[in-house]
Amino acid sequence: MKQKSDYYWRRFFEILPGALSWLFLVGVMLLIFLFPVWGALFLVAFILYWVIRVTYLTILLLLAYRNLRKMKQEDWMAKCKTLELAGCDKRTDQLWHAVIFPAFRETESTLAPSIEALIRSHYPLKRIIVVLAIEDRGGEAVWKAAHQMKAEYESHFADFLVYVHPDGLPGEFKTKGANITWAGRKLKEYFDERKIAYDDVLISCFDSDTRVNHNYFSCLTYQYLANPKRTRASYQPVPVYHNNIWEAKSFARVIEITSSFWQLVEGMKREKFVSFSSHSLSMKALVDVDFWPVDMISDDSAIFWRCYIHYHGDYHVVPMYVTVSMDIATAPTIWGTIKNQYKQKRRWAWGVENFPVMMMAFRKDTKISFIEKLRRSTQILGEHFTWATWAIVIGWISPLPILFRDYLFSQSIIGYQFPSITGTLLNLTGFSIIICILISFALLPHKPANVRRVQIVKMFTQWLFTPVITLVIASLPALDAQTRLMTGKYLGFWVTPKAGG
Amino acid sequence: MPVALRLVLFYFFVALFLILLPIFMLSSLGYRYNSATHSFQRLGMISLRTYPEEASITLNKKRLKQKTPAKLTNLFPGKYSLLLEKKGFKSWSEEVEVRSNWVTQLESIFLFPEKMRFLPVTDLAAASFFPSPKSRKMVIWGKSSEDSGLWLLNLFLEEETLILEENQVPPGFFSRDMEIYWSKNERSIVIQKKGQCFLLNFKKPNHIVNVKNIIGFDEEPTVSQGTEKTFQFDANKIISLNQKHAFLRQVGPEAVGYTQKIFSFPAGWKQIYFDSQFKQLYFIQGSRLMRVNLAYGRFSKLMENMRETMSGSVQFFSEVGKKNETEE
Repeated sequence: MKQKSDYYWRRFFEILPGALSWLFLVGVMLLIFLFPVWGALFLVAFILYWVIRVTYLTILLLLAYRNLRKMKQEDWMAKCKTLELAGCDKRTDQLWHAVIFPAFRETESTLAPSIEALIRSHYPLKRIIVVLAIEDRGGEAVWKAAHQMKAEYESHFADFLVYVHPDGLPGEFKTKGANITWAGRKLKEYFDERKIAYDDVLISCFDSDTRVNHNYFSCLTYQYLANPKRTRASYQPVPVYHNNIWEAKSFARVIEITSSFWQLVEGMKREKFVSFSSHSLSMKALVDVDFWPVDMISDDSAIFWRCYIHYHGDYHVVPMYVTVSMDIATAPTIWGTIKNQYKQKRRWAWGVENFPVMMMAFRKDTKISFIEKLRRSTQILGEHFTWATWAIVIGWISPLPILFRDYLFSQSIIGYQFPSITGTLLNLTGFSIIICILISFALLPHKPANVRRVQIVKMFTQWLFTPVITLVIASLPALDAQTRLMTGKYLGFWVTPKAGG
Repeated sequence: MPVALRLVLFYFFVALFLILLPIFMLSSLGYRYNSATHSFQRLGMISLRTYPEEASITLNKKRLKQKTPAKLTNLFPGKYSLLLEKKGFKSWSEEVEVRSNWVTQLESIFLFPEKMRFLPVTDLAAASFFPSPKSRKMVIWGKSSEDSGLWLLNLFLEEETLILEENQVPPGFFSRDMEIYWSKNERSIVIQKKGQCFLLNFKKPNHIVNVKNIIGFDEEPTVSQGTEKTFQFDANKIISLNQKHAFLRQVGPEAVGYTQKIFSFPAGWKQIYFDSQFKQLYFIQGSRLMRVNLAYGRFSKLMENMRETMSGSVQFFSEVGKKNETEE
């Protein structure tokens, strides 16, 4: 009986985000056609709200960028020493870093640059253990490449482990989470054998194309040591998509740059911050929560919520103003790029699957306060609701009163005032676009010698794609993901094609 | 950044939103503060479009920077004198009432040239003409010794074909009591003469067949001879004609109700017909069939399209204009 009730509750929470988004969109459309004046007033309010929100976020972006620049100058190793001298209960040389690179079909061309980036770290490499978590179903080529890399790079690190995740284990979906959980469990055995305490181990779970900044491990070590609740936190770097930025399609570049900016801004809202993509956390937290979920696609955010629920809300994300660079999802053709981008964003938006998991846990948890539950549930619901609706309202619905002006407003003044007022408001977002362009240039890596200068001009002109991106990529993937969750057509894991192969 | 500082920033923007929201709402609804009456009033607007465009606008004796088409916004309710001017065209002026929360639409104002050109349509000496229902063709009764008979004139291609010679019909057949009805496909006509009907297919010139009834034929469009006459110009305008002048009058429930003089007729004109589809006015002056082009804006485009459809690159008015031009 209880199981049946749980099933209905779970379905209810799966349906809720999509239902809210659809009800809102249909509601706005009906409002426009049934009560045009109210509909137009609502759109003016919505666009005003959006412009103010974008301005607020742009200021946060500027402040985050200032932090990033400031942190770039820091000597993290010296800061770690200072901490130790100040009486920190842990020492730098006590800590181990295990870096997991999951790979499905990715071979040396993708993984080698990521491992070489580790070698360039300003951190004792003999405290770093590299783990290649490869899928058995990925084929022999991947296995061979992994062992070749082990032979080539093993000497640089404390250890270089290759774990092969068997296919089709009971209870598992074909997800990255299942692969890294297998590797995590193997690592637990590895550390158990060596009697290394879990809180002395930091696990960095990276994508196979993740190339760390040379300060990553020293910064991570400092943040870990400095944090009094160090095992109750995930450590989130700023993901930038610079690996193939000079070769990628302009369209895709703009999307990924804005994704990076979004992460920068999210880092400013610490109390709301949730882990995303490549990040680190303690082995202790991982063992406590029994590693990543093996049946969920959004393993990056799911692990945060898993820890958050396990520790009854006493878990947070520490933003690290240090970058990790990844590939821009691209393809040889523009259509292929749009498709890949759409699928990647839909996979990110599938993070909405955490909502029912979280709500089911909240129902049973008595230690988290009602206010905290309300804050977190409205946060995740609100974020996904906004993601799925804003661009559709602004890009698709707000032109309707202009297109159907004669039908909707006859000779009423609002029909004529509406385009000029909303146009003026939307033009104000030009300020934010200029800031984005400037920051994107400031973050840009050096131009390789083989890249023509005209590419720099394209880095400016690419921002002209912003309206198209708003229409196609901004909200539709999120609405698609929510609709799938709502209708029970669950998403399968789609591996983003990597530039390296 | 400390959380407190971010919260200050956040609440600042929340406050900004709450302050701006009513301002934008009221502004969308057209409310503004009127310093003359010290009260908030709901504004009105004038939406202007002229044919041709780019006319300068003078509102209450103040020349505006905008040119037509234009939207004159933020107008407090009341009466405004509006003057539209364009070089080479007659100016248009009217007193326009602006109402609260209302857009006064003046979106099809026609500015007519100062010197209206009357262009001969054909060299035929015409006694009378019979336009087809779709106004693409015309049957002309040629009266002079050289042109006597019925001619078919394609109005777009400027081609004339003799379809019935005078020597093919009994003497006195062509006269003022002759009536002509067009077939719907404009490929034949029925000539009614003293209760008898004769079918004339354009493919078989000079071959008239006596028929008993005329089912499937349209009455010819209204043609007036000299008396006061009105034609529908568009949805809310009529062309009004008297012996001396042609006027454009705006009519209808929401109309501003203005009248503008288009031109004065030359002396000795007779029989008039207005083609409302292509905005062409036809009349006979002396023995010449003349045409006045009142097609501007979308109508001139319509005309252009029709001309291109009927013939790839036929020179139309410009060629005719070169032949012989009469000015108002």
